Amino acid sequence: MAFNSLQFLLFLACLYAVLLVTKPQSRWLGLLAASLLFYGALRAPHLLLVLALVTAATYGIGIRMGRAGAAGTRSRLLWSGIAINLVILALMKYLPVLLANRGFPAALFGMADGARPLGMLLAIGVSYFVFQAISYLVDIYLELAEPEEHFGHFALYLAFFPKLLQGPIERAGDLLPQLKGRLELDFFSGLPLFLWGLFKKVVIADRVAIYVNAVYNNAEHHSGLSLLLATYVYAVQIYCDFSGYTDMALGAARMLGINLTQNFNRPYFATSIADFWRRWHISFSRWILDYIFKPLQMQWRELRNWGTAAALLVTFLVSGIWHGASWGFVVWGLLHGLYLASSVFCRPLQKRLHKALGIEKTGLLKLWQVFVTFNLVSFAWIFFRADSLGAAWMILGRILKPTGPLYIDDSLQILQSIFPVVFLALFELKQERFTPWRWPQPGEFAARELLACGALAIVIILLGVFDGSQFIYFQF
Amino acid sequence: MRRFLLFVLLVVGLDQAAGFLLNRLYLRTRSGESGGLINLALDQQPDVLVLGSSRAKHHVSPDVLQARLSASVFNAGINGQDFLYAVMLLDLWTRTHTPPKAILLHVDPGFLSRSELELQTASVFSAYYHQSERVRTIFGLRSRYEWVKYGSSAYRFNGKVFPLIKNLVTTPDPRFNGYIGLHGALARAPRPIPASDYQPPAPWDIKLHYLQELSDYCRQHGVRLILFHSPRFDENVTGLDAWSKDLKTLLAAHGGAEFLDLAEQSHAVFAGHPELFRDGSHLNARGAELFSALLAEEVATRLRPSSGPEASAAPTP
Repeated sequence: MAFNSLQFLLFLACLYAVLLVTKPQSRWLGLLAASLLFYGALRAPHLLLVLALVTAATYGIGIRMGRAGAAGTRSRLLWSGIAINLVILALMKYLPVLLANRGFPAALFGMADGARPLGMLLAIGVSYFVFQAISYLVDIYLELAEPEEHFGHFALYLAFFPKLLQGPIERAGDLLPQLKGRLELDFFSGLPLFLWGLFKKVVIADRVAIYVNAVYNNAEHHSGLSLLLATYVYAVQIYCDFSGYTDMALGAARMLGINLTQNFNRPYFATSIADFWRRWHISFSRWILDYIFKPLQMQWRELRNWGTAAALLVTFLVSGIWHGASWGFVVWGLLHGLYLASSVFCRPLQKRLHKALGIEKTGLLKLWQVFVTFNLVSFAWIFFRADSLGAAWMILGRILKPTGPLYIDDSLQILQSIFPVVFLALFELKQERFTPWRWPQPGEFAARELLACGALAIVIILLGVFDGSQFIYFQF
Repeated sequence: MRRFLLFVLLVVGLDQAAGFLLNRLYLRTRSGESGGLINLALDQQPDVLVLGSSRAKHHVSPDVLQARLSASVFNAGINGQDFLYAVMLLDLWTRTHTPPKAILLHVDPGFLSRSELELQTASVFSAYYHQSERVRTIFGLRSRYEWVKYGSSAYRFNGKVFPLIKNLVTTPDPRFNGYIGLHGALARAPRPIPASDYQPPAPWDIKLHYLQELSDYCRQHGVRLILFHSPRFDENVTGLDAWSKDLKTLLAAHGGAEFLDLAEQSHAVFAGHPELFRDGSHLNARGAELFSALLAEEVATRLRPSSGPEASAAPTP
């Protein structure tokens, strides 16, 4: 049940109606039942079992950790909890892919077809709730959060459907208190964000995907120029696809009285790769920063900059592997690790150079930095999008010689993509540089917002692609 | 609750207004494959109506047929479409027009098989969703929830706003008869047509039903329904022959339609002549002229006064 499907809209409407006639204190129960129904609708019963297992194990260990006094016991409980979750993740996400490809190297190289789909079907959402479970245990260990005594509330914390399949990865301290409190429904505080996410997904991401797929799926037949354009277009597609999903998740959750963590903050306006990761998939980058990078950096602090660089490389290598068992993801993660590791050494030099040139705070420098960052990120997307590492190298080779005819199958299709993309870019530019447009808060929804939402709904109906396509990050 | 109702009313109002406005504009278009060509076809009253895919559109020149048959001809073929398109267009066409003397339906192996792509491309008829039960039925085959989507008036023009604007500002040639000749010639031989292409999946019940309905309509109104196949480059003669035989058997069982088997004549003219093809599946303008002459000759023999619809039940030469 994808967020951009009619079934989901119907599901959300029915749930909303049921919750309307339920007492605010008891609404968590309706949400839990709906979340399990939502997950069950994937028609993969084993996923419900895995969710139940992770929930029960993490809940039990959390309670015991909270009651244990000795540091050694707490540490043992923490590591056993992490191990259980990681084993489940590995079994669900990587083992089937490796088995399907009859061997680790072939799977990693992405040489065998169908590696991703098989893994994808088996492990939808597992990466997200497993990471959330681990963060819960670590936060209890570090005494940043209290263990949740109420099993139902805890189960809902892991299973809450808007963030179950693609995040955001919520911290216990942010989400649990909301689930335990009175859930005040407010349809209109979530509607604009939900529609905006739907706009990004069906009007932009799915429209530009037609071009990206046409080029990338037959990369060997396309010129360097077409591949270069498709790579930039893919950068737009993946942003609108993933941030569109997140906006819809946040919007749906707000309708149900819950605020989820913001996951994107105009990432393509980032002035450096570090800045990019503060704006892209924020809940995930915070997770790997807090639970992988910081402990490693602490461990290797005596190596100073080299230790930090090594911690960054390892962290982003894990980030790549988290996306799936494919060399493409590994290289993508390593590239980001390399960007960040090199910046550890280059940043001071850059600053000195900018100061010497007197361009420290100029708009031109910022523009240049945004341009460079966007290109570095887009370059890495090649490895993320290509079907295999071999295909990525081939595409890269062609892009380095951007000549040949530019593939344009349908100029009207291109035009249909350009207008919404330009609109989005201008909107984000306004948010970034000028007075940001604030999403209406509960009770603020007036005639202007009503009209804007109505108009946006019509634009979605007229320009959207409704072919039931899935979200890209669904597979992770 | 009041605000919610207000919002629903606003969306419904905007949707109806957008749908109404776009429909008015759409009905004025007479070009473009997002629907304008359907309007153009519905304006015509030819004696002979040609239907089919891009291979009909680019292979059958009405001028050549017109000269040989001494009858008006319009080519309503359209890129990316197939049998279901013909079924929907005829459903709309027959409501407001007197029956033509003949319908020439271009077919390829697989035209009676189920095709998801064909169901998707059927959306060129979305503007006529509320006017035709046939269109609604065919759209309903795409998914169970299609009717929900078309509850929106504006949705009929989903993905068509930009083409609509383009078509509105494009002035079609008043002499346009539906045919577009292709330029260029094959630079190198394309991949051979696989043998499996001549053994399509079993016919789809619903398409067989529509074929029967179409045949019945033609029989009742004295219309000659002639199916034909145009050449592709390096056609597999054995495969084509086997498919043609199967099709004739099937049509004999349905009655009212005949298959004009041009394989032999086509092979003699087109085999080994890449200069007559634009690509593996399409003739260029020169090839189309030759094929149209060949088709005209055969159709002319069938449209002679002596050969009525009953005589046509007997299969082709």
